[in-house]
Amino acid sequence: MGVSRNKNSVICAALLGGAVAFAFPPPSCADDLLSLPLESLLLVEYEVSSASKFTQTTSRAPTSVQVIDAEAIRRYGWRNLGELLNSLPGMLMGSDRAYDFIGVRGFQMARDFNHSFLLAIDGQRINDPIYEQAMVGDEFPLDLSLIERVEFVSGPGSSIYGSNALFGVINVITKRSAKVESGAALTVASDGWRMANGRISTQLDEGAALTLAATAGDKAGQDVAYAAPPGYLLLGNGAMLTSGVATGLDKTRLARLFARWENDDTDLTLTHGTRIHHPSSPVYGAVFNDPALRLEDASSRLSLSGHRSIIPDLEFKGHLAYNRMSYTGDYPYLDPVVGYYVNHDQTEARWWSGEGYLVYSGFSGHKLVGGIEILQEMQARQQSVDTLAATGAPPLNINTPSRSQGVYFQDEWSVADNWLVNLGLRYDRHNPGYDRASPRLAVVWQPQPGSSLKLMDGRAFRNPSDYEAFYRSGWAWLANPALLPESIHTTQLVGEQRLGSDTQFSATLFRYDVQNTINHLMLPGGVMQHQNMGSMAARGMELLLTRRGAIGWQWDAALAMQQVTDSMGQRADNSPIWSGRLKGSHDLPGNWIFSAESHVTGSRSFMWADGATRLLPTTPLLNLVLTLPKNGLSGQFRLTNVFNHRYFMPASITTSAPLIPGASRTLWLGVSYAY
Amino acid sequence: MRTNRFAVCFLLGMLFASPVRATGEYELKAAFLYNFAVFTEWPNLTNTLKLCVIGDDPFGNAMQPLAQKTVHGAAIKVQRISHVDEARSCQILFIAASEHGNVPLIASQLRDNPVLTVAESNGFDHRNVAITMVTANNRVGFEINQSLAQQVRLKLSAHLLKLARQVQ
Repeated sequence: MGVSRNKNSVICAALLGGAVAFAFPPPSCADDLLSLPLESLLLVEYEVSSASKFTQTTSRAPTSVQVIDAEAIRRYGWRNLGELLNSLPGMLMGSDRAYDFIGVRGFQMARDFNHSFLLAIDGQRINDPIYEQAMVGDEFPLDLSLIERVEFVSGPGSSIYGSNALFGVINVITKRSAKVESGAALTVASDGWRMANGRISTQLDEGAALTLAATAGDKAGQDVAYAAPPGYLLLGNGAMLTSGVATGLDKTRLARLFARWENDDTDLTLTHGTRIHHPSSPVYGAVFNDPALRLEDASSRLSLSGHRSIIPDLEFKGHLAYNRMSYTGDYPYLDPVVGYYVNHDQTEARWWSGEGYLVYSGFSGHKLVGGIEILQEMQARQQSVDTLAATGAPPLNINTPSRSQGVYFQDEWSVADNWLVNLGLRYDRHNPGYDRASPRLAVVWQPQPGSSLKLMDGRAFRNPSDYEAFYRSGWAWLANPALLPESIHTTQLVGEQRLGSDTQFSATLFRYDVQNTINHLMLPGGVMQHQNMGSMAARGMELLLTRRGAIGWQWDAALAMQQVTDSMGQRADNSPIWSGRLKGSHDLPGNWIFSAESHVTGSRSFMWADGATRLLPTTPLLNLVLTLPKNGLSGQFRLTNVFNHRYFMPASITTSAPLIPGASRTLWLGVSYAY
Repeated sequence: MRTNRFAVCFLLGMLFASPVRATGEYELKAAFLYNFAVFTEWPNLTNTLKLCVIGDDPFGNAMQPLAQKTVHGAAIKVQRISHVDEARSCQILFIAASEHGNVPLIASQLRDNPVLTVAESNGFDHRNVAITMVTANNRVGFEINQSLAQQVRLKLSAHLLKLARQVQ
């Protein structure tokens, strides 16, 4: 009797340890947790997250998942989501000082608005329907202090998430009210940033709780030097430059708001973010060093989400959200005939999004998930007009709302002891547009606790965005409604091995094949258009060693190596063959915490608008952070780019300078108070 | 359009149906609290073992299975408290993250009471609590401040000390 009881407990622990993906273990399991010996409890792995679409432990997940938690956010002092993501293995980070751009596994397209990544908050897609942008820079609407964890799933995610999940899914899990520390924080930086943040969380009756948070930020302008071949950098007075300094630019103002009412099973969440930015870089071929260049982004979202048990073994989770976004762009130009004028872009979208899925765990050895996701756009308007009618350019005013439905199904099947098969299929209908089926197959072998080997094969896609297909501006941009969706087929092999209680090693081999890549192209006469550019392929590997412990160093060491080639077999633009990440954190005497983070990105080259290929040398960067712990008042000193290494990022061919200077050494001082 | 309308109705209907509980990190942490009770000896334990939570309770219903358990012949009673004065009659006090700023105050108030103080957090200053739960690779571990436990006349079993990541 005792033996069988114990056996049940062990099976239950194994299930909990393996996290019976997606669903909630039956009540008997919770009781069995209490009957487990303490040494077994130490080995139980809890769910990766409670708010992501499918809760799972990383070792059983049919993907490779990287997790960054609130503790790491506190220790490394990342200022925005992009900086946080840049600490992950194989990640590439770029910026044109207007927006931040991420890439992974050697793929980084110039100025693509990160539309090949699906960005989700608590499992809910937030890419907008016009640019399909994953906002990872300062325009991301959540303050990092509200984040419980960020999960990055590398590889195709369309079998669950549908469009955009080409290279990965970024799922930002927000803190539940009980984990939000009421208080305020203030940050100032030597580059002119000043940021203030306040948070209140309070428990109401009957398990309900309320969270309110607001952030306001302001960045003073800076002087930034640019250089370009003759004929590109143009001042508002008509002077041509080959080098010059943009003065008092990269000015930013931002505001963020977060409000949530929650109880055990239902959340009502409001997120809002705005950013007004004057980039120093002459993006969109605008006049150089002109404060009239102005970009304004705003996004708002109200979401109702919940989870319910329908009958034993059958769970429902779902959400329904109302979303708005707007973008306003003012770009100053100088025309040889009509003179100085401003082109004005105005983009507005309103849409409903919703999702519901059922998880059934009633068949022995199977975990079945079936769901639907909808997106109904009420408005998807793009306008573009020149302020000077004399340019003669026809104004743009189009509204292209679309709707889409996705239906998906997944089975996690324990075929034998230690063997797991994960089959997934999603069918998406985009109207108007294309239908797409995205399958995924994963086989997971866990020969012993702490070891796993996963073989994964999947397909993902991305529909052309409204911007890529329909935007046109004056005589400078042409629409291309005939664009085909991008698609990817990937095969990955991941091995994970725990080394002791604190350390884990993982190795990934991957092969990516992308078809119909969309990029902007300069046509004869200098007119721009988005076009399908053929295929790209990547082969590579990633190695990662992680140590997380209560005491001593917590560190990650990662090395990524890859080769990306285009359809001609040539090495792809802006694709380093290697990159390394090393970060570590240690408690010092006197309660200080020391953290250091270094990124090294291998050399890469790219071709710019003048047809010349430019080489970017290997870029090493180091950031150091000192933190005083959080008992009441706490402080943080953060020094980024410690050696003030001068480095550049490639500009899009639409920008009037080929090289965008990276951020120089910056000192950040942060003070926060929690009560 | 019709498909989407149907889907919206379906979603709304499901969202307002009857509720359930999820499991996760705090179910596991609740099981640890239970084990801390099992492996601790109190000088003055009666027939009730009060497990108190001060601050914004992150456990939700995760503590419910504990309420049906007995330890050393005493029935576990879970209680949420809002003031440190109430903590003197508790055997275990879980200090939620929202009260971390008050830990020195709570510790000084409980200096002469046999209360096992427990907090959670990595890198948290644990000089003032007896046990700190920490997380690593989605698993829970714990550290023990034995001198503090001894000061308040609590006896922690050798088994507990052996399984701790760190004892000071």
